[in-house]
Amino acid sequence: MDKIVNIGQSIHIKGELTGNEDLTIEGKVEGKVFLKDHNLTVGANGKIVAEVQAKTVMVLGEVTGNITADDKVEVAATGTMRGDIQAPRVVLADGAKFKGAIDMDTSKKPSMSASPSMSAPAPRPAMEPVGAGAPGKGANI
Amino acid sequence: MAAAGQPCGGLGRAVARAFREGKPQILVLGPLCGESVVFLAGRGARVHVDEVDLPAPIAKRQPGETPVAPHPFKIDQPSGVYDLVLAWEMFDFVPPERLPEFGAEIVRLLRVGGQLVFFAHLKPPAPTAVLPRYRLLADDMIVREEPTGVEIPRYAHSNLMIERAIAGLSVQNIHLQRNQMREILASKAGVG
Repeated sequence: MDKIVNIGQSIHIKGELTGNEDLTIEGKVEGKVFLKDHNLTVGANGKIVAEVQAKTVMVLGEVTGNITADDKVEVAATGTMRGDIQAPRVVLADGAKFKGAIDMDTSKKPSMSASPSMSAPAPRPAMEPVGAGAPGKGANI
Repeated sequence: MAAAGQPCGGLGRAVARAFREGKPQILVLGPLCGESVVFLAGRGARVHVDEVDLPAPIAKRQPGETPVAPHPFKIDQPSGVYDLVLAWEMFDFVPPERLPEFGAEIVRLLRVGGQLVFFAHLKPPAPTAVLPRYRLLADDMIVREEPTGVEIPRYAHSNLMIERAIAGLSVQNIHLQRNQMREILASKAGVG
């Protein structure tokens, strides 16, 4: 099982954060966060003001900035997000605070925009329940 | 038990038309319904979400009191870019004296040919309500949901008041639904 690194509540980081492992942020981060092929969780106490790129991003706390994910972005009911999301899969829980734009039209798949039929709805995008899965054990920074 | 969907022909037409021209820019106002936003984004739209603080009523002035100008209502979005604005039931929660201001802001956001879809009660069932959210089941099928929250005053606006408030848009369709709700579809005058 991959180790998950935690940035604890009392940690405040300014600058560029890059890594090759999953990361949970419970503290404050300002700047940029790049986790290629790895997962980022912004914990319930986490607050980031940053441009984010990762494989998946789970927002339980606060994010200000744009998020680009190769796989999925999920904003839980406790989450607050101000910024744009670009990802092939997006889950926004009812009750979440969100201001920004969502673009699920990635270049990896053909556009689904040519479906003007009223009576035949387009295939639904992937929807998953929010909040499933507990974070694994990991090291604290 | 899953709620039954309510057919909305005007909404279906507006969504179909928006998608006819490639990748539409859609603005969804009001309480967030993640499923609706993802539904539209999954179809290929760029979907913008803005919960928007509704304009407050203007307090009645007492004799001798100096008038206080209300805080101008502004939606923090760019002008003339949106192909479709979904305002759901927000007009019902705007006090009559602020309706022209609210309508003008929405008109500002639409591009020429852009469309506005919203719902307005003919006779509100109660003087106060929680701002509802709308779940899109299909282009032309919705479910109205009332989340728990603080009830705020709601108002009944006549068709004439609404048409004046959205001056610059031409009303394409007003459909009175069984629950006394008007479904209103309007588009910005010009090419389109």
